[in-house]
Amino acid sequence: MPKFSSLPLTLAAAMAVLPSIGFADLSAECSGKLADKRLLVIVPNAAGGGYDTYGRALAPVFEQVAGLRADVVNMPGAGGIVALTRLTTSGPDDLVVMVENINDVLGAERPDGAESWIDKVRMLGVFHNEPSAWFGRTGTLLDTPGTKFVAAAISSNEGVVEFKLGGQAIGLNIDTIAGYGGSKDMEAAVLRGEADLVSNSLTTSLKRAASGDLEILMLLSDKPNPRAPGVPHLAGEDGLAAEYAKTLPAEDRALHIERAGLAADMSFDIRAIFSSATMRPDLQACLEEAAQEVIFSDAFREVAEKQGRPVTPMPADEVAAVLGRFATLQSRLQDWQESDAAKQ
Amino acid sequence: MSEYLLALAQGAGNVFSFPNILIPMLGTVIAMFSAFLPGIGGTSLATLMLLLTLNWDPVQVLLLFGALTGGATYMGSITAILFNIPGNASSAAVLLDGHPMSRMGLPKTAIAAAATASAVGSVLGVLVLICILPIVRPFILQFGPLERLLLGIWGLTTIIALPNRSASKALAATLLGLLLAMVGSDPTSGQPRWTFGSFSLYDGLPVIAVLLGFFTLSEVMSWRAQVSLSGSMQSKNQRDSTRAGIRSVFTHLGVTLRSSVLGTLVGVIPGVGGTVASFVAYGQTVQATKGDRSQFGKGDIRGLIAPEAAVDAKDGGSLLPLLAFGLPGSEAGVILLSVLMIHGFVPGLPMLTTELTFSFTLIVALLFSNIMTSAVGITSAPYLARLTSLRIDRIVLPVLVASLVTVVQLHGSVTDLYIAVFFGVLGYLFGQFDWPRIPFVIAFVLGGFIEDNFALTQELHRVDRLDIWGRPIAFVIFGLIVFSLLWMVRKGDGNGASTKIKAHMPRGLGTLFAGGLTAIAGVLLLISVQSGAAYSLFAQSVAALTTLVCLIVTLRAWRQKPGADAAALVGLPETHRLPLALVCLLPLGVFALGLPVATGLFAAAWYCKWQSLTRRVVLGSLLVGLICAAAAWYYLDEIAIVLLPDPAVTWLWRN
Repeated sequence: MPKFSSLPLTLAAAMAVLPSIGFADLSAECSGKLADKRLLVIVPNAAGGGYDTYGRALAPVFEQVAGLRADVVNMPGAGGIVALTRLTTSGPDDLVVMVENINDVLGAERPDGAESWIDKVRMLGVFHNEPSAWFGRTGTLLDTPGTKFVAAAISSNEGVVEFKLGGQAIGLNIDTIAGYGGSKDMEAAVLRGEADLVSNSLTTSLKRAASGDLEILMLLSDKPNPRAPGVPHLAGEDGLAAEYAKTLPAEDRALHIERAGLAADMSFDIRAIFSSATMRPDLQACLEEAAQEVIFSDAFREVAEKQGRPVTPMPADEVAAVLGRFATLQSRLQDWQESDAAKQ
Repeated sequence: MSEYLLALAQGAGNVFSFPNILIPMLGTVIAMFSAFLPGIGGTSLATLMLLLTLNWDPVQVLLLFGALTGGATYMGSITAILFNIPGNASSAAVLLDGHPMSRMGLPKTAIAAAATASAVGSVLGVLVLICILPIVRPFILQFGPLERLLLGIWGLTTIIALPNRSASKALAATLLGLLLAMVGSDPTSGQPRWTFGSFSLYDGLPVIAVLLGFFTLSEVMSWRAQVSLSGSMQSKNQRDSTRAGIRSVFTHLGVTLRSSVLGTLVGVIPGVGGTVASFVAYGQTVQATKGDRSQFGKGDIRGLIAPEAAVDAKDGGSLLPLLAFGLPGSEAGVILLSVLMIHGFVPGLPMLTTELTFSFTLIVALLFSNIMTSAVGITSAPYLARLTSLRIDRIVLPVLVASLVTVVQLHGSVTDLYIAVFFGVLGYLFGQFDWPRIPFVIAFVLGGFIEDNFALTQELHRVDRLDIWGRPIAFVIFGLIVFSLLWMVRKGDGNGASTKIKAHMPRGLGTLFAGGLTAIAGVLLLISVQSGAAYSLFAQSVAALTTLVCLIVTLRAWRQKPGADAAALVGLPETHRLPLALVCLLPLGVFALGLPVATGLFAAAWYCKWQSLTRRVVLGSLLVGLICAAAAWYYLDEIAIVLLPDPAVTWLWRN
């Protein structure tokens, strides 16, 4: 079957990638299985956003690595559930993958009422991971325990837990205003003084801080980040939570550090390529091999970074550890929510 | 000041120098053409250009994106005027009077008026932008949820001024619009609301699918039996000319300027958008009109000028929050922001101080593009107007198929097609039973906006972050609302119709239709009461009020005696029966057989001359169906790349 690229956007992405092509080959077995097939890369958002950029940067490199045809499909709706449903109902021979944040995959509601999608998907590779950050108006100080803060959120079930949990860890009383129309609307709320802080990925926070109107207040991680020098972090032994709790009894101190770790884990931004668990195992193995080639390639990094999207791929063994950590996260969160509800 | 003017001159110099000038020209042409092509919307085009210009010089990138921002807006109005198909959501308000003008034999006048209003609106928007750029930051921060809520209410109050035959039906239509705007999820809790378990409805009913169904599908159903659109027009209107269109914008200069200012203001408010701007401007124009308002919705040129001027003025206004704070007002704005960041421009104070020349380069490119689009629109008006004399029976099928496929492609969801069909039938029935469509649409467009900001205002009050006395602009908008209401009361013609025509609602079908709407509202009310948490008091109140008012309309219809012309309204016109049946059956076909096959069957059945079934007719129809099915398949699978669900028949085959 002749291979041709029909979508102008894919063509443009391919043109952007072409100058830096140069890859290792796939195994002969996988080349045979993938060559000349059609791969659909689902982006669970409308064209133009961050995930769309990653998807369109990945597609042409997949084509070069695996000799297949890769098309990007935008499937926005219901916070990614529409796309997830489509991915997980694809047939065993269908080559369909999706780029998404691991938290959004694990936290999304399932039509059958089950708790998580984790048994329905397989992670083929992580192409970017970074901590989230809280940012607010320049001069906002988070080191005054007992102070009442107001955070902006999209809905009361999105972001609220992170603020409550993180706030408790450092002794802050954080209330949340829910109902904003997106990250820019929330930033506007902070600029207007309606809210004091908002949460986003480190990359976005750095971009926003560049204007001088807003600054990064805290990283939700257990260590400092070289991209944000001098910015305090929440969790870990030298984090703000440990600092705040150093005078407390050991049990309480442990509780604060535990909560800080939980807030950091649940907000960590891990962007990955997923396939459906129903995909034929041999196809899945080959696609994973191709995905690893793609996400570690210079071509993908160059095109994504040119568009302001950093690439920090994660080796396969670390990916397994991440999945394991996230599997326990849900139950830890549930324990905290139950104890918090009991106190109230 | 001199530095400011110097930066402006340098920005203009960047645009009007050779070969730089070729870039905005090219960008404008690309944007204009892409506005006509299904599948390449403004956002996709901007994304494509973002990728292609990664290695360009930053100034050239600004020139291109300024042109792309301005180029596409006006072109959406052409299809709205000529074929009743809104090229984008914000041009939907243009069709309310633009298409009726076209049908009155005034297509040239309408196109030229729209182009001129577009030019005046964009020039004014950019002039305001240039004047207030240095001082705009504190002004932008004055527009919070309270101000946006009041702006939405102000827009809603204009419905009172719209001409209609029955105040109770207009109220019922308004409430229905508000109610259906709430389908989706609760703005605060994010919990699904009236979605009936469909994730595709979580983000609400898609505006473009609703508008396309309500206006276009409902209209096209009556085209099947026509040979040409001009057949239903007043043949060749002698008053139709490009000059008349241009002149009308200046004859109604007050409307043009007021709408432009309103559009600029709406553009300045982050997150409001062109659709709200155009409908609010439309409503305000009807409201502020002295004397006869009965022609609004039937081809009043002021109803065309107002939304067109507002939408194009909004482009300039929307650059203000983007440049001053990095706050985009639309999806295209998000991409423009990405473009700025990729090429090293940091929105915020630098764009208003050290990088002012670059800001002006973008602004002047936008202005250039808007004016160029309008110039092309004016010069091509006579040629574009000729499209209305094409054989409508030959173009209706491609129009219909393109509309249906475009609806699916927009969000990659076949549910949007079902929604468009539902609203197509609803719009058709609104027309048949003399229910006013414009109040419904204005309320639907503004409903979500009003509820979102009402919920946020409540939240701000809860956390004690709402200082009403410190919101002067809220008082100004509140004053406008009060003034508008008093103005209408003083004029004493609440429904705006100069000659009130008593509605002759037939007792049978009309009552049934009103009863059906009552039942829909009643079911939604019951669901909201039973399901509790996801349904705010606001949502429940609107559902209750809608049920009540629809019930009153039903009872009035039932009690009313049929009038002399009731027969015209009772039965479905014979020529409409087959199109209506086909449109109603289409979702079933799509579900069972998939979109390409269903489109093919639909096209074959539509094209077939059922009264004279010969072998040739059948073969011809099948050929048409085959071509349509192949075109739909190729477009969805190879160009738009839409991943559709497997049809039921495939599922049955597998199992």
